[in-house]
Amino acid sequence: MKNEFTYDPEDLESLMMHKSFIELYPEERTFVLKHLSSPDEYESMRSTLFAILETKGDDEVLSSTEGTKANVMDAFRAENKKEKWFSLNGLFILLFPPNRSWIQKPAFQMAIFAAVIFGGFLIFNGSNSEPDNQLAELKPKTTTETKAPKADSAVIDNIEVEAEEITVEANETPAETIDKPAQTIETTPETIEISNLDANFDLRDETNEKTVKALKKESNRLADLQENREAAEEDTSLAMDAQDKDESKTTLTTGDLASPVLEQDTQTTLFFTEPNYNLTTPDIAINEISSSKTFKFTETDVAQTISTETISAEKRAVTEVSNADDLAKVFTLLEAAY
Amino acid sequence: MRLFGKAYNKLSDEDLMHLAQSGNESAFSELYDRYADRLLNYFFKMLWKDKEMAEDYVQELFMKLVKNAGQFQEGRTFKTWIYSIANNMCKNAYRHHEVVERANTELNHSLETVDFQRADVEHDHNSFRLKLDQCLSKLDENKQITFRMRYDEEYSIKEISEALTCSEGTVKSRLFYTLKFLNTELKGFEHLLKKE
Repeated sequence: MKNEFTYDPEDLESLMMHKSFIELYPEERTFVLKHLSSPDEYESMRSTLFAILETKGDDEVLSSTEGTKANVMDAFRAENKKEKWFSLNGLFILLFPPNRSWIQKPAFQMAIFAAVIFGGFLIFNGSNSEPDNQLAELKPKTTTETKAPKADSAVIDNIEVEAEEITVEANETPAETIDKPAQTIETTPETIEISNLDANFDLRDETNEKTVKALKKESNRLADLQENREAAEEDTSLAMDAQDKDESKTTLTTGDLASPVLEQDTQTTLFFTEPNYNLTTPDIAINEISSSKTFKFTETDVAQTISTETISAEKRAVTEVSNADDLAKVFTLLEAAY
Repeated sequence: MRLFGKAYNKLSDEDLMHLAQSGNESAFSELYDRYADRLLNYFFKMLWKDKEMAEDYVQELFMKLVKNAGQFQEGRTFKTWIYSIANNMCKNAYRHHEVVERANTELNHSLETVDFQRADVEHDHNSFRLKLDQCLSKLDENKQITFRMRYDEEYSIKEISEALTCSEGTVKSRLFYTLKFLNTELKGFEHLLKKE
Protein backbone atom coordinates (compact mmCIF):
# COMPACT_ATOMS: atom_id res chain seq x y z
CA MET A 1 0.00 0.00 0.00
CA LYS A 2 1.36 3.36 -0.99
CA ASN A 3 2.11 5.65 1.93
CA GLU A 4 0.42 9.01 1.22
CA PHE A 5 1.97 11.95 3.04
CA THR A 6 -0.42 14.68 4.06
CA TYR A 7 0.44 18.34 3.91
CA ASP A 8 1.88 19.24 7.27
CA PRO A 9 4.15 22.29 7.30
CA GLU A 10 4.88 21.85 10.97
CA ASP A 11 6.47 18.56 10.13
CA LEU A 12 8.48 20.36 7.47
CA GLU A 13 9.56 22.93 10.01
CA SER A 14 10.55 20.17 12.36
CA LEU A 15 12.57 18.48 9.65
CA MET A 16 14.34 21.73 8.86
CA MET A 17 15.16 22.28 12.50
CA HIS A 18 16.74 18.88 12.97
CA LYS A 19 17.99 17.55 9.64
CA SER A 20 19.70 18.71 6.50
CA PHE A 21 18.42 17.43 3.20
CA ILE A 22 21.05 14.70 2.96
CA GLU A 23 20.08 13.47 6.41
CA LEU A 24 16.48 12.93 5.48
CA TYR A 25 15.06 9.49 4.93
CA PRO A 26 13.83 8.72 1.43
CA GLU A 27 10.15 9.11 2.40
CA GLU A 28 11.00 12.42 4.10
CA ARG A 29 12.76 13.63 0.97
CA THR A 30 9.69 12.72 -1.02
CA PHE A 31 7.57 14.68 1.41
CA VAL A 32 9.88 17.74 1.26
CA LEU A 33 10.13 17.75 -2.49
CA LYS A 34 6.38 17.56 -2.70
CA HIS A 35 6.17 21.06 -1.22
CA LEU A 36 9.50 22.58 -2.23
CA SER A 37 10.99 22.78 -5.69
CA SER A 38 14.47 21.49 -4.92
CA PRO A 39 16.86 20.40 -2.18
CA ASP A 40 18.54 23.83 -2.46
CA GLU A 41 15.32 25.55 -1.57
CA TYR A 42 15.06 23.29 1.42
CA GLU A 43 18.53 24.26 2.53
CA SER A 44 17.88 27.93 1.88
CA MET A 45 14.69 27.89 3.91
CA ARG A 46 16.51 26.05 6.64
CA SER A 47 19.18 28.78 6.73
CA THR A 48 16.50 31.49 6.87
CA LEU A 49 14.78 29.75 9.72
CA PHE A 50 18.02 29.52 11.68
CA ALA A 51 18.85 33.13 10.97
CA ILE A 52 15.44 34.23 12.27
CA LEU A 53 15.85 32.24 15.45
CA GLU A 54 19.47 33.37 15.86
CA THR A 55 18.81 37.04 15.49
CA LYS A 56 15.79 37.01 17.72
CA GLY A 57 17.91 37.76 20.76
CA ASP A 58 19.43 40.78 19.08
CA ASP A 59 16.24 42.73 19.37
CA GLU A 60 16.11 45.55 21.80
CA VAL A 61 14.49 44.45 25.04
CA LEU A 62 12.18 47.04 26.50
CA SER A 63 10.87 47.36 30.00
CA SER A 64 7.61 48.94 30.94
CA THR A 65 7.72 52.06 33.03
CA GLU A 66 6.48 52.37 36.59
CA GLY A 67 4.10 55.09 35.51
CA THR A 68 2.25 52.67 33.27
CA LYS A 69 1.89 50.17 36.06
CA ALA A 70 0.69 52.86 38.47
CA ASN A 71 -2.00 53.93 36.01
CA VAL A 72 -3.13 50.36 35.49
CA MET A 73 -3.25 49.60 39.21
CA ASP A 74 -5.22 52.79 39.87
CA ALA A 75 -7.73 51.72 37.27
CA PHE A 76 -7.91 48.28 38.86
CA ARG A 77 -8.60 49.75 42.31
CA ALA A 78 -11.24 52.10 40.98
CA GLU A 79 -12.98 49.33 39.08
CA ASN A 80 -13.04 46.94 42.00
CA LYS A 81 -14.09 49.62 44.45
CA LYS A 82 -17.03 50.43 42.24
CA GLU A 83 -18.13 46.87 41.66
CA LYS A 84 -16.90 45.21 44.78
CA TRP A 85 -20.30 44.16 46.05
CA PHE A 86 -22.13 44.05 42.79
CA SER A 87 -19.95 41.81 40.68
CA LEU A 88 -21.85 38.57 40.39
CA ASN A 89 -18.97 37.04 38.57
CA GLY A 90 -16.64 37.94 41.42
CA LEU A 91 -19.12 36.51 43.92
CA PHE A 92 -19.40 33.35 41.88
CA ILE A 93 -15.65 33.01 41.73
CA LEU A 94 -15.47 33.59 45.46
CA LEU A 95 -18.06 30.92 46.21
CA PHE A 96 -16.98 28.46 43.55
CA PRO A 97 -13.26 28.93 43.04
CA PRO A 98 -11.92 26.79 40.24
CA ASN A 99 -9.15 24.29 40.66
CA ARG A 100 -10.38 23.27 44.08
CA SER A 101 -12.08 20.15 45.21
CA TRP A 102 -15.76 20.36 46.01
CA ILE A 103 -15.14 20.20 49.74
CA GLN A 104 -12.85 23.21 49.57
CA LYS A 105 -15.37 25.44 47.85
CA PRO A 106 -16.75 28.08 50.22
CA ALA A 107 -20.27 27.63 48.91
CA PHE A 108 -20.27 23.98 49.91
CA GLN A 109 -18.74 24.77 53.27
CA MET A 110 -21.38 27.39 53.98
CA ALA A 111 -24.12 24.99 52.96
CA ILE A 112 -22.79 22.37 55.35
CA PHE A 113 -22.61 24.94 58.13
CA ALA A 114 -26.18 26.05 57.50
CA ALA A 115 -27.35 22.43 57.49
CA VAL A 116 -25.63 21.79 60.82
CA ILE A 117 -27.21 24.89 62.36
CA PHE A 118 -30.64 23.93 61.05
CA GLY A 119 -30.26 20.37 62.27
CA GLY A 120 -29.18 21.60 65.69
CA PHE A 121 -32.17 23.87 65.83
CA LEU A 122 -34.51 21.01 65.01
CA ILE A 123 -32.91 18.75 67.60
CA PHE A 124 -33.04 21.48 70.23
CA ASN A 125 -36.70 22.09 69.56
CA GLY A 126 -37.44 18.37 69.62
CA SER A 127 -35.80 17.92 73.03
CA ASN A 128 -37.73 20.81 74.54
CA SER A 129 -41.14 19.71 73.40
CA GLU A 130 -43.14 17.03 75.21
CA PRO A 131 -42.30 13.53 74.14
CA ASP A 132 -45.05 12.49 71.89
CA ASN A 133 -44.16 9.73 69.56
CA GLN A 134 -47.72 9.16 68.51
CA LEU A 135 -48.74 12.43 67.08
CA ALA A 136 -51.57 10.89 65.16
CA GLU A 137 -53.01 9.01 68.11
CA LEU A 138 -56.72 9.44 68.45
CA LYS A 139 -57.46 9.86 72.09
CA PRO A 140 -60.94 9.27 73.40
CA LYS A 141 -62.68 12.46 74.27
CA THR A 142 -63.41 12.70 77.94
CA THR A 143 -65.93 15.11 79.25
CA THR A 144 -66.15 16.10 82.82
CA GLU A 145 -69.48 16.94 84.14
CA THR A 146 -69.90 18.73 87.39
CA LYS A 147 -73.11 18.22 89.00
CA ALA A 148 -74.87 20.87 90.93
CA PRO A 149 -74.64 20.74 94.67
CA LYS A 150 -77.30 18.53 96.05
CA ALA A 151 -78.23 20.87 98.79
CA ASP A 152 -81.65 22.23 98.14
CA SER A 153 -81.67 20.71 94.71
CA ALA A 154 -85.40 20.72 94.89
CA VAL A 155 -85.31 24.46 95.02
CA ILE A 156 -82.41 25.39 92.83
CA ASP A 157 -81.64 23.17 89.96
CA ASN A 158 -79.52 23.80 86.92
CA ILE A 159 -78.89 27.46 87.35
CA GLU A 160 -76.94 28.99 84.57
CA VAL A 161 -75.87 32.53 84.25
CA GLU A 162 -73.61 33.62 81.50
CA ALA A 163 -73.81 37.33 81.98
CA GLU A 164 -70.98 39.01 83.72
CA GLU A 165 -72.71 42.19 84.60
CA ILE A 166 -76.35 42.21 85.31
CA THR A 167 -78.46 45.25 85.90
CA VAL A 168 -81.98 45.34 87.09
CA GLU A 169 -83.55 47.97 84.98
CA ALA A 170 -86.57 49.89 86.10
CA ASN A 171 -89.64 49.91 84.02
CA GLU A 172 -90.05 53.27 82.47
CA THR A 173 -93.72 53.53 83.13
CA PRO A 174 -94.56 53.30 86.82
CA ALA A 175 -97.81 51.84 87.86
CA GLU A 176 -100.13 54.56 89.04
CA THR A 177 -103.18 52.86 90.30
CA ILE A 178 -104.09 49.55 91.71
CA ASP A 179 -106.45 48.96 88.84
CA LYS A 180 -103.75 49.26 86.24
CA PRO A 181 -102.51 45.84 85.21
CA ALA A 182 -98.96 45.02 85.93
CA GLN A 183 -96.64 45.72 83.09
CA THR A 184 -94.87 42.91 81.44
CA ILE A 185 -91.25 43.51 80.76
CA GLU A 186 -90.21 42.11 77.46
CA THR A 187 -87.34 39.79 77.18
CA THR A 188 -84.58 40.81 74.83
CA PRO A 189 -82.77 38.29 72.66
CA GLU A 190 -79.79 38.49 74.95
CA THR A 191 -81.94 37.46 77.91
CA ILE A 192 -80.50 34.93 80.28
CA GLU A 193 -82.94 33.41 82.59
CA ILE A 194 -82.34 32.25 86.09
CA SER A 195 -84.04 29.06 85.21
CA ASN A 196 -81.11 28.25 83.05
CA LEU A 197 -78.73 28.48 85.91
CA ASP A 198 -77.06 25.16 86.30
CA ALA A 199 -74.07 23.65 87.95
CA ASN A 200 -71.73 25.83 85.93
CA PHE A 201 -73.03 28.83 87.71
CA ASP A 202 -70.12 30.03 89.74
CA LEU A 203 -71.26 31.83 92.82
CA ARG A 204 -67.71 32.78 93.62
CA ASP A 205 -67.57 34.89 90.57
CA GLU A 206 -67.42 38.54 91.42
CA THR A 207 -70.15 39.49 89.02
CA ASN A 208 -72.44 36.78 90.18
CA GLU A 209 -71.75 37.70 93.74
CA LYS A 210 -72.83 41.22 93.07
CA THR A 211 -75.90 39.98 91.33
CA VAL A 212 -76.88 37.86 94.28
CA LYS A 213 -76.34 40.74 96.65
CA ALA A 214 -78.43 43.01 94.52
CA LEU A 215 -81.19 40.44 94.30
CA LYS A 216 -81.09 39.92 98.02
CA LYS A 217 -81.41 43.61 98.64
CA GLU A 218 -84.29 43.81 96.25
CA SER A 219 -85.87 40.90 97.99
CA ASN A 220 -85.64 42.68 101.32
CA ARG A 221 -87.17 45.77 99.87
CA LEU A 222 -90.04 43.83 98.43
CA ALA A 223 -90.55 42.12 101.75
CA ASP A 224 -90.74 45.52 103.44
CA LEU A 225 -93.26 46.68 100.91
CA GLN A 226 -95.32 43.57 101.51
CA GLU A 227 -95.34 44.23 105.20
CA ASN A 228 -96.35 47.82 104.67
CA ARG A 229 -99.16 46.73 102.44
CA GLU A 230 -100.42 44.24 104.99
CA ALA A 231 -100.24 46.90 107.68
CA ALA A 232 -102.13 49.27 105.44
CA GLU A 233 -104.80 46.67 104.78
CA GLU A 234 -105.21 46.17 108.50
CA ASP A 235 -105.54 49.90 109.00
CA THR A 236 -108.08 50.04 106.18
CA SER A 237 -110.13 47.28 107.68
CA LEU A 238 -110.02 49.01 111.03
CA ALA A 239 -111.08 52.22 109.44
CA MET A 240 -113.91 50.53 107.61
CA ASP A 241 -115.06 48.96 110.83
CA ALA A 242 -115.01 52.33 112.44
CA GLN A 243 -116.88 53.80 109.49
CA ASP A 244 -119.49 51.19 109.89
CA LYS A 245 -119.81 52.28 113.44
CA ASP A 246 -119.57 55.97 112.66
CA GLU A 247 -120.50 56.98 109.15
CA SER A 248 -119.60 60.60 109.71
CA LYS A 249 -115.93 59.80 109.76
CA THR A 250 -113.78 60.06 106.73
CA THR A 251 -113.82 57.09 104.45
CA LEU A 252 -110.62 55.75 102.99
CA THR A 253 -110.78 54.22 99.63
CA THR A 254 -109.52 50.77 99.38
CA GLY A 255 -107.49 51.58 96.38
CA ASP A 256 -105.64 54.33 98.07
CA LEU A 257 -104.68 52.11 100.90
CA ALA A 258 -104.22 48.92 99.00
CA SER A 259 -102.10 50.23 96.22
CA PRO A 260 -100.02 53.17 97.17
CA VAL A 261 -98.27 54.56 94.13
CA LEU A 262 -94.60 54.17 94.16
CA GLU A 263 -93.00 57.48 93.58
CA GLN A 264 -90.02 57.81 91.41
CA ASP A 265 -87.77 58.45 94.35
CA THR A 266 -89.08 55.41 96.13
CA GLN A 267 -87.94 53.12 93.40
CA THR A 268 -85.02 51.07 94.40
CA THR A 269 -82.00 51.63 92.36
CA LEU A 270 -78.75 50.10 93.26
CA PHE A 271 -75.53 51.44 91.99
CA PHE A 272 -72.34 49.59 92.34
CA THR A 273 -69.04 51.22 92.84
CA GLU A 274 -67.69 49.91 89.58
CA PRO A 275 -68.81 51.67 86.48
CA ASN A 276 -71.24 49.92 84.22
CA TYR A 277 -72.74 48.04 87.12
CA ASN A 278 -76.24 49.19 87.56
CA LEU A 279 -79.03 47.32 89.20
CA THR A 280 -82.43 48.84 89.04
CA THR A 281 -85.62 47.27 90.17
CA PRO A 282 -88.64 47.28 87.97
CA ASP A 283 -90.90 50.17 88.42
CA ILE A 284 -93.92 48.43 89.80
CA ALA A 285 -96.49 48.99 92.43
CA ILE A 286 -96.77 47.06 95.63
CA ASN A 287 -99.75 45.16 94.49
CA GLU A 288 -97.88 44.19 91.37
CA ILE A 289 -95.22 42.43 93.26
CA SER A 290 -97.32 39.42 93.75
CA SER A 291 -98.67 39.40 90.27
CA SER A 292 -95.62 40.56 88.43
CA LYS A 293 -93.52 37.66 87.46
CA THR A 294 -90.83 39.28 85.45
CA PHE A 295 -87.86 41.36 86.44
CA LYS A 296 -85.61 42.79 83.90
CA PHE A 297 -81.88 42.73 84.35
CA THR A 298 -79.69 44.68 82.05
CA GLU A 299 -75.98 44.75 81.59
CA THR A 300 -74.28 47.81 80.28
CA ASP A 301 -75.41 47.32 76.77
CA VAL A 302 -77.55 44.23 76.90
CA ALA A 303 -80.68 43.91 78.84
CA GLN A 304 -81.10 40.64 80.52
CA THR A 305 -84.20 39.41 82.06
CA ILE A 306 -84.58 37.07 84.93
CA SER A 307 -87.94 35.56 84.79
CA THR A 308 -89.16 34.53 88.16
CA GLU A 309 -91.92 32.72 86.46
CA THR A 310 -89.45 30.63 84.57
CA ILE A 311 -87.57 30.01 87.73
CA SER A 312 -90.56 28.62 89.38
CA ALA A 313 -92.31 26.80 86.63
CA GLU A 314 -91.36 24.83 83.67
CA LYS A 315 -87.61 24.34 83.72
CA ARG A 316 -86.91 22.65 86.98
CA ALA A 317 -86.75 25.97 88.64
CA VAL A 318 -86.74 26.99 92.19
CA THR A 319 -90.19 27.35 93.40
CA GLU A 320 -93.16 29.44 92.76
CA VAL A 321 -91.85 32.93 93.05
CA SER A 322 -94.89 35.06 92.95
CA ASN A 323 -94.25 37.31 95.83
CA ALA A 324 -91.49 38.87 97.78
CA ASP A 325 -91.31 36.09 100.28
CA ASP A 326 -90.64 33.50 97.70
CA LEU A 327 -88.08 35.66 96.05
CA ALA A 328 -86.41 36.23 99.38
CA LYS A 329 -86.37 32.52 99.85
CA VAL A 330 -84.60 32.07 96.57
CA PHE A 331 -82.00 34.58 97.47
CA THR A 332 -81.51 33.02 100.83
CA LEU A 333 -80.76 29.77 99.14
CA LEU A 334 -78.46 31.41 96.69
CA GLU A 335 -76.62 33.08 99.49
CA ALA A 336 -76.35 29.84 101.35
CA ALA A 337 -74.95 28.21 98.31
CA TYR A 338 -72.53 31.02 97.87
CA MET B 1 3.28 38.61 49.25
CA ARG B 2 1.68 35.42 50.41
CA LEU B 3 -1.89 34.23 50.28
CA PHE B 4 -2.82 31.35 52.57
CA GLY B 5 0.83 30.45 52.83
CA LYS B 6 1.29 30.39 49.06
CA ALA B 7 3.37 32.89 47.11
CA TYR B 8 1.69 34.70 44.26
CA ASN B 9 4.65 34.15 41.99
CA LYS B 10 4.06 30.41 42.28
CA LEU B 11 0.46 30.57 41.21
CA SER B 12 -0.54 29.91 37.63
CA ASP B 13 -1.68 32.69 35.36
CA GLU B 14 -5.20 31.35 35.48
CA ASP B 15 -5.32 31.26 39.28
CA LEU B 16 -4.01 34.78 39.44
CA MET B 17 -6.62 35.92 36.98
CA HIS B 18 -9.40 34.33 39.02
CA LEU B 19 -8.11 36.11 42.08
CA ALA B 20 -7.92 39.35 40.15
CA GLN B 21 -11.52 38.86 39.08
CA SER B 22 -12.52 38.83 42.72
CA GLY B 23 -10.63 42.07 43.27
CA ASN B 24 -7.28 40.79 44.46
CA GLU B 25 -4.88 43.61 43.71
CA SER B 26 -1.73 41.64 44.43
CA ALA B 27 -2.73 38.93 41.98
CA PHE B 28 -3.34 41.50 39.29
CA SER B 29 -0.02 43.15 40.04
CA GLU B 30 1.71 39.80 39.64
CA LEU B 31 0.04 39.27 36.28
CA TYR B 32 1.16 42.70 35.17
CA ASP B 33 4.73 41.96 36.16
CA ARG B 34 4.69 38.70 34.23
CA TYR B 35 3.32 40.04 30.98
CA ALA B 36 3.94 43.74 30.78
CA ASP B 37 7.47 43.54 29.42
CA ARG B 38 6.69 40.69 27.05
CA LEU B 39 3.73 42.51 25.66
CA LEU B 40 5.67 45.73 25.44
CA ASN B 41 8.29 44.08 23.28
CA TYR B 42 5.62 42.34 21.26
CA PHE B 43 3.87 45.61 20.56
CA PHE B 44 7.19 47.20 19.89
CA LYS B 45 7.92 44.66 17.15
CA MET B 46 4.45 44.66 15.80
CA LEU B 47 3.96 48.41 15.81
CA TRP B 48 6.96 49.56 13.86
CA LYS B 49 9.46 49.82 16.65
CA ASP B 50 7.59 52.66 18.27
CA LYS B 51 8.34 52.39 21.96
CA GLU B 52 5.88 55.02 23.11
CA MET B 53 3.13 53.50 21.07
CA ALA B 54 4.00 50.09 22.48
CA GLU B 55 3.87 51.52 25.99
CA ASP B 56 0.48 53.03 25.31
CA TYR B 57 -0.80 49.79 23.91
CA VAL B 58 0.38 47.85 26.95
CA GLN B 59 -1.45 50.24 29.23
CA GLU B 60 -4.55 50.09 27.05
CA LEU B 61 -4.42 46.33 27.03
CA PHE B 62 -4.31 46.08 30.83
CA MET B 63 -7.10 48.63 31.11
CA LYS B 64 -9.18 46.32 28.94
CA LEU B 65 -8.19 43.47 31.19
CA VAL B 66 -9.45 45.40 34.22
CA LYS B 67 -12.79 46.26 32.66
CA ASN B 68 -13.37 42.91 30.97
CA ALA B 69 -11.94 40.62 33.61
CA GLY B 70 -15.26 38.82 33.84
CA GLN B 71 -14.95 37.70 30.23
CA PHE B 72 -12.08 35.42 31.04
CA GLN B 73 -13.62 31.99 31.03
CA GLU B 74 -12.61 29.03 33.07
CA GLY B 75 -10.63 26.45 31.12
CA ARG B 76 -9.02 28.98 28.82
CA THR B 77 -5.32 29.72 28.87
CA PHE B 78 -4.56 33.20 30.09
CA LYS B 79 -1.52 33.57 27.83
CA THR B 80 -3.47 32.92 24.67
CA TRP B 81 -6.32 35.09 25.88
CA ILE B 82 -4.16 38.10 26.54
CA TYR B 83 -2.30 37.68 23.27
CA SER B 84 -5.52 37.40 21.35
CA ILE B 85 -6.45 40.80 22.80
CA ALA B 86 -3.04 42.13 21.86
CA ASN B 87 -3.37 40.78 18.33
CA ASN B 88 -6.75 42.37 17.88
CA MET B 89 -5.27 45.67 18.99
CA CYS B 90 -2.49 45.26 16.44
CA LYS B 91 -4.98 44.48 13.71
CA ASN B 92 -6.84 47.65 14.52
CA ALA B 93 -3.57 49.53 14.35
CA TYR B 94 -2.73 48.09 10.97
CA ARG B 95 -6.08 49.12 9.64
CA HIS B 96 -5.34 52.65 10.54
CA HIS B 97 -4.05 53.93 7.23
CA GLU B 98 -2.16 56.90 8.44
CA VAL B 99 -0.28 54.87 10.97
CA VAL B 100 0.60 52.23 8.41
CA GLU B 101 1.83 54.80 5.93
CA ARG B 102 3.92 56.52 8.55
CA ALA B 103 5.38 53.20 9.61
CA ASN B 104 6.24 52.28 6.04
CA THR B 105 7.92 55.60 5.55
CA GLU B 106 10.00 55.17 8.67
CA LEU B 107 10.94 51.64 7.74
CA ASN B 108 11.94 52.65 4.24
CA HIS B 109 14.02 55.44 5.65
CA SER B 110 15.71 53.06 8.03
CA LEU B 111 16.43 50.57 5.32
CA GLU B 112 17.85 53.22 3.04
CA THR B 113 20.41 54.14 5.64
CA VAL B 114 21.68 50.61 5.86
CA ASP B 115 24.42 49.55 3.50
CA PHE B 116 23.92 45.83 3.48
CA GLN B 117 26.99 45.05 1.49
CA ARG B 118 29.42 46.84 3.79
CA ALA B 119 27.87 45.91 7.07
CA ASP B 120 29.82 43.80 9.47
CA VAL B 121 28.37 40.85 11.31
CA GLU B 122 26.86 42.91 14.08
CA HIS B 123 25.36 45.24 11.59
CA ASP B 124 24.27 42.29 9.53
CA HIS B 125 22.18 41.03 12.37
CA ASN B 126 20.54 44.39 12.88
CA SER B 127 20.04 44.78 9.19
CA PHE B 128 18.59 41.35 8.96
CA ARG B 129 16.06 42.11 11.67
CA LEU B 130 15.13 45.36 10.01
CA LYS B 131 14.70 43.63 6.70
CA LEU B 132 12.78 40.89 8.36
CA ASP B 133 10.43 43.40 9.94
CA GLN B 134 10.01 45.10 6.62
CA CYS B 135 9.16 41.86 4.93
CA LEU B 136 6.76 40.86 7.65
CA SER B 137 4.98 44.20 7.36
CA LYS B 138 4.24 43.29 3.76
CA LEU B 139 2.36 40.23 4.86
CA ASP B 140 -1.22 40.25 5.88
CA GLU B 141 -1.86 40.74 9.56
CA ASN B 142 -2.81 37.14 10.27
CA LYS B 143 0.43 35.71 8.85
CA GLN B 144 2.46 38.37 10.56
CA ILE B 145 0.87 37.73 13.94
CA THR B 146 1.20 34.01 13.53
CA PHE B 147 4.86 34.31 12.64
CA ARG B 148 5.55 36.63 15.56
CA MET B 149 3.83 34.41 18.03
CA ARG B 150 5.63 31.36 16.72
CA TYR B 151 9.20 32.64 16.43
CA ASP B 152 9.32 35.64 18.71
CA GLU B 153 7.05 34.58 21.54
CA GLU B 154 7.74 30.88 21.01
CA TYR B 155 4.13 29.81 21.23
CA SER B 156 3.18 26.30 20.21
CA ILE B 157 0.95 25.67 17.22
CA LYS B 158 -1.90 24.76 19.54
CA GLU B 159 -1.56 27.91 21.61
CA ILE B 160 -1.50 30.05 18.49
CA SER B 161 -4.59 28.38 17.18
CA GLU B 162 -6.35 29.07 20.47
CA ALA B 163 -5.23 32.67 20.57
CA LEU B 164 -6.24 33.32 16.98
CA THR B 165 -9.30 31.08 17.19
CA CYS B 166 -8.40 29.12 14.11
CA SER B 167 -7.40 25.53 13.36
CA GLU B 168 -3.89 24.20 13.84
CA GLY B 169 -3.72 23.40 10.14
CA THR B 170 -4.34 27.03 9.31
CA VAL B 171 -1.52 28.06 11.62
CA LYS B 172 0.87 25.57 10.01
CA SER B 173 -0.06 26.74 6.56
CA ARG B 174 0.48 30.39 7.45
CA LEU B 175 3.88 29.63 8.95
CA PHE B 176 5.02 27.63 5.94
CA TYR B 177 4.08 30.28 3.41
CA THR B 178 5.54 33.05 5.56
CA LEU B 179 8.82 31.21 5.80
CA LYS B 180 8.83 30.57 2.08
CA PHE B 181 8.13 34.25 1.41
CA LEU B 182 10.89 35.39 3.75
CA ASN B 183 13.30 32.99 2.12
CA THR B 184 12.66 34.75 -1.14
CA GLU B 185 12.81 38.27 0.26
CA LEU B 186 15.96 37.80 2.32
CA LYS B 187 18.17 36.75 -0.59
CA GLY B 188 20.43 39.72 0.09
CA PHE B 189 21.54 38.17 3.35
CA GLU B 190 22.85 34.99 1.81
CA HIS B 191 26.27 35.52 3.36
CA LEU B 192 24.73 35.81 6.74
CA LEU B 193 22.42 32.91 6.18
CA LYS B 194 25.19 30.66 4.91
CA LYS B 195 27.26 31.60 7.95
CA GLU B 196 24.46 30.45 10.16
